[in-house]
Amino acid sequence: MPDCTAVKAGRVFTLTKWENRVSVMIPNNDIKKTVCTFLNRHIKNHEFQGDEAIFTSALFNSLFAMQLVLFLEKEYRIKVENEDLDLSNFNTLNAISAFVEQKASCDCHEH
Amino acid sequence: MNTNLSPDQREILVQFRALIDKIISPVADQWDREETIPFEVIQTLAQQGLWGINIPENMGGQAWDMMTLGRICEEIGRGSASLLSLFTVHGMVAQVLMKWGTHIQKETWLPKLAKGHVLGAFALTEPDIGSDARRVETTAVLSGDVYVLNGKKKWISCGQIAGLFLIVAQCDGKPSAFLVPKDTPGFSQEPIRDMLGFRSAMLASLCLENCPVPRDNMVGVIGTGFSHVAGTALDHGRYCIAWGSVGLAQACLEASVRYTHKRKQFGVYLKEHQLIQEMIANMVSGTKAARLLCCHAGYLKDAGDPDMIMETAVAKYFASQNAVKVALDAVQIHGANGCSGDYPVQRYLRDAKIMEIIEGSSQIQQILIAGHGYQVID
Repeated sequence: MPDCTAVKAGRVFTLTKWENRVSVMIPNNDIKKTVCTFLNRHIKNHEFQGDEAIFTSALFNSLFAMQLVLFLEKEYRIKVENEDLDLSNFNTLNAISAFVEQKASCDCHEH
Repeated sequence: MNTNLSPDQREILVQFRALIDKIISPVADQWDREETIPFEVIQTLAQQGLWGINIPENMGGQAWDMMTLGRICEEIGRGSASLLSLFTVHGMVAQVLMKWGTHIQKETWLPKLAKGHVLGAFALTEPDIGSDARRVETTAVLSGDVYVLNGKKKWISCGQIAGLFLIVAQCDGKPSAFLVPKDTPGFSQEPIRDMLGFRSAMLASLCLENCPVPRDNMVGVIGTGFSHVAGTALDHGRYCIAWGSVGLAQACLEASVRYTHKRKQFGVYLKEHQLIQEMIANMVSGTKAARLLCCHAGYLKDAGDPDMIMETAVAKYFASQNAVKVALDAVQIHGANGCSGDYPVQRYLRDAKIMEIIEGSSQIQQILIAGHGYQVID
C-alpha cells in the first residue's frame, strides 16, 4: 500500500489523519500536468487536450499501455489492478486524472 | 545503479550455478538430440523453488527480486536455452496472473505454478500471425456462462507439457486473454519437432475447437489482451530471454577459452594466436556489455520505473544479437569440432538464433528502439 506520508516533496497534498485513516487529495490540474509531461516524453510537440483520446489514437506504440500503468503506479504510489483495467480509465487526460484521484483516495483509506 | 550482489543473492546464485553445472549442462546436448527435458529434472527444479521465483511467498513462491531472477536466467541460459524457454513462458503466465489476475485466479493458479505442479505456457502466435500479434485470428464468443474459443496457436514453448495456457483471442473484435487448462474439452496439443534450436523446449501447436472457457477465466477485460496482458507477459519474456542470451554467450566464451587452452596449431596453443585473441576479446566485451544492459533493466524493474520496458527491449535486442555473434565465433574457434555433436557450441549457435526471434524479433525491437530514439532526442 502507498505510504501517504512519504510522497515526494514539491507536490501539493492535503493529509488528514483520523485514527488510522488517511485521506489524500491531489489537485486535479497537477495530475493532468504531470501526466502530460509524461506523455510528451513519448510524443514531442503535441499539446494533449483533456478529452483527447489517447489509446484510440495512433500516436503511441504497443509498449505504451504498460508504460503508462507503471508511470501512474510509481508517480502516485497506487496499484493498478484487475478491477481497474477499464480502458476508459486511461483514454483521456481527464479520465486518468479522475482515476488517480479516486484510486489514491481509496488506497490511502485502506492504508 | 549498483550491480554488486548482496550476500543473499550471491548465495542463491552459487547454489543455482552448481545445480546447473551438475544436472543441466552435462546432459543438455542429449536433451537437444532427444527433443525433450525429462520430467524428473522439472521436478528437481521444482524442489529448488525454481518455478516460483517471481511468485509471492504467500502464494508459495520465492518472491525474489528481478535482479536475482535475471541472474538465475543467465545461469539457466548458460546450461540450456531450451530449459530457459520453459522457465520464461512459465514465468510470463505467473507474472500476468500476479499483475492482472482476479483474486480467485491468483488463489487457484499461483500456488500450483509456484510449486511446479502445473507449468504455464503463453499462446499468442498463430500459424498466420507472428509479429502482427494484435490481429490474432483465434476467436472467443460469449455463450451463456462460457466463452467458446476457436482457433489455432503455433510455436508454443512448453506446449507439450504445460497444464495451463494463457490464450490471446479476439472477443467482440478486440484482443482478450483467457486462462485455458489443458483438460478443457476441445483443446488439443500436437508436438512440433525438428526445430533449428530450442529443440528440447517441447514446442507444440494448439488446437481449440469449440473450447468452453468459464467467463471467470478471462484475464483483464475485453480489449486488454494485447495492450496490458500480452504487454506484461512479453516484457517479462524479453527480460528472461535477454539474460538467457547473456548466459548462452557466457557458455560460448567459457567453451572457447577452455578449447584454446588445450588445442595446438602451428606448434602453439590456439590462445597464442592473435586472431583468436581478437575473437575472445570481442566475446568478453560484448557479453559484459549485454550483462550491464540486463542489469540496468533489472534495476529499473526493481524500482518500478516505467523506463524498464524500453530498457528491457534494448537489452533483449543487444543481448540476443551478441549471443549470435559470440556463438558464431565459438564455432569458428572450434573449427570442424564445433560443427559436430561432440561439442556444445553447435547447439549454442542454433539456440542463439532463436533468441533473436522469440518474444519479439530483433526487427520489432529495432522499430521500437528507433522510434523511442526519435522521441527522446531533439
